[in-house]
Amino acid sequence: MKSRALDFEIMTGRIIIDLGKCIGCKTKACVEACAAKIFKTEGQEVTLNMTREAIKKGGCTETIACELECQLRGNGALKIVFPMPELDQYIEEMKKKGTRVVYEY
Amino acid sequence: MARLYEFQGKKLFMKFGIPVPLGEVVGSEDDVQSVLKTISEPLMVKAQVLSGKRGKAGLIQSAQQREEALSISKELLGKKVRYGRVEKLLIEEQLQIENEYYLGITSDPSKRQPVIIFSKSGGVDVEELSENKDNLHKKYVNILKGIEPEEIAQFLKEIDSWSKKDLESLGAIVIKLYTLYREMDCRLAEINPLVVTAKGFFAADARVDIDDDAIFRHRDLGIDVAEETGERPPTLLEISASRIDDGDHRGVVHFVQIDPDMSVTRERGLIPIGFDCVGTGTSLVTMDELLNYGYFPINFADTSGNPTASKMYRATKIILSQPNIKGYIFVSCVSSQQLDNTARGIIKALKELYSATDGKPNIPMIFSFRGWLDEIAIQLYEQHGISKSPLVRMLGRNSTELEAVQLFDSTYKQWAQKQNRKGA
Repeated sequence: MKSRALDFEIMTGRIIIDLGKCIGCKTKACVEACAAKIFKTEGQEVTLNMTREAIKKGGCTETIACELECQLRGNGALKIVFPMPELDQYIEEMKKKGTRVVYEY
Repeated sequence: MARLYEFQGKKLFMKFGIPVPLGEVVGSEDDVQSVLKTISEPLMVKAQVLSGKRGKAGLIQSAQQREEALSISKELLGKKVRYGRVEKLLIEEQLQIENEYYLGITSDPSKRQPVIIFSKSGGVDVEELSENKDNLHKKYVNILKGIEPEEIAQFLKEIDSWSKKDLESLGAIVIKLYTLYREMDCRLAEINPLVVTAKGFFAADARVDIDDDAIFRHRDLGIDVAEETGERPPTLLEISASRIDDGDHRGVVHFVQIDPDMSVTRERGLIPIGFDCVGTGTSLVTMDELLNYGYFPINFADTSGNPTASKMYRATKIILSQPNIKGYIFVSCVSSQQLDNTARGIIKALKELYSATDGKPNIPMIFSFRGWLDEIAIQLYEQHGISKSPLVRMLGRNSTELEAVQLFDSTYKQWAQKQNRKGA
């Protein structure tokens, strides 16, 4: 069964919360970690404390505290994605040339 | 600043009404063949590269006939130059030059004004021109008032006696170039040489540098990267880094690959490392110290002005994606930026790139956090287990750039010894 997700855009990326993992989290560390207060808890789940539009405009200040605290003290449910298409292209080109980046060793 | 190719500069000149020779840009032999049918002989074939002194390097050649132009084009297209290869040529009619002048407009930081520079000796390097101060004429412009035709006419009359027609034409070109300089947010707009022919004045060459901070206003120019990359086009990593600040003014990321192909590092027998600093002053000091110890920072990076953690994440991924680096060093100046956010961005990047080891790297890394929330930054590394790695060393507020480099050196040597024993 596909897990439900809370998926929303921030200014330069998106935050995706696996609600299946989030429900079981006792700390809800992301809520406390967020200085901008974009999250709140509703029952067992984390939800948005701000409109999506406001979050995307800069309500989320992209400190990454939520993701890191979720990893440390939560259930690892929260992931932030920051697209970097030119870097992806670069890595692809490196692979075609047979050149590895150092972190792949 | 973003430097335009000659053909781009000439396109702007045309847009602003400055006469240029008839010409077309070509990128293939087929294009050359087509264009040669439309331009009368004799011709000029000019490699479109950003480096100076193209004439001396044989990258600008004249051709009396179309066959010769075709032969030169074949020779130049794809020719290896210092950075990359010649990908485009500008094929132009050859002007019958009677005289050559220099005309440039730039900013003079000492006077805090734009300055119009004119010389009767055109076609020579600006460095040579500036050696003879008597031949260099300057007019400072009140940027709030702009310039009037009468002022320019007076300025030109003080340099030489001109015919009425030449004075009008030249004056008009000065005003048009100034208009271009202002409307295109230039750091430099230069015509060298500005030539006189029987048909009047023409811009035989074009040099236009756009101010980095104004690139967002000129998207139609197709400038990939605002950072100064010298005489070469930006690399894909630099393009990626330049996107970090797009539309996001929360701090800045400056990134330039100093030695993209590692030729300098190899030639000098230095050890290449990735590099990031908060503060350009600290960057320069740390880079100097690194060189003294035999390490070559293959990139310059300054991530300051309180960048978001997301910017730090992106910058770190880019820096660490340079191939063959043997280490990484991060040093902050005693900074007022939120170093906890700085740390979070780097930590996310490390955990992603080194997912198998939960962020612990496979090359030596030094992190020196000095300034606001520096202790929290260091704690974060501890909490996430990254500083538990024997290859990671942390320094705090009371450390110096030299100490950071010395610590890197000792960490690197221990690691390198182990690698040698493993036969790596």
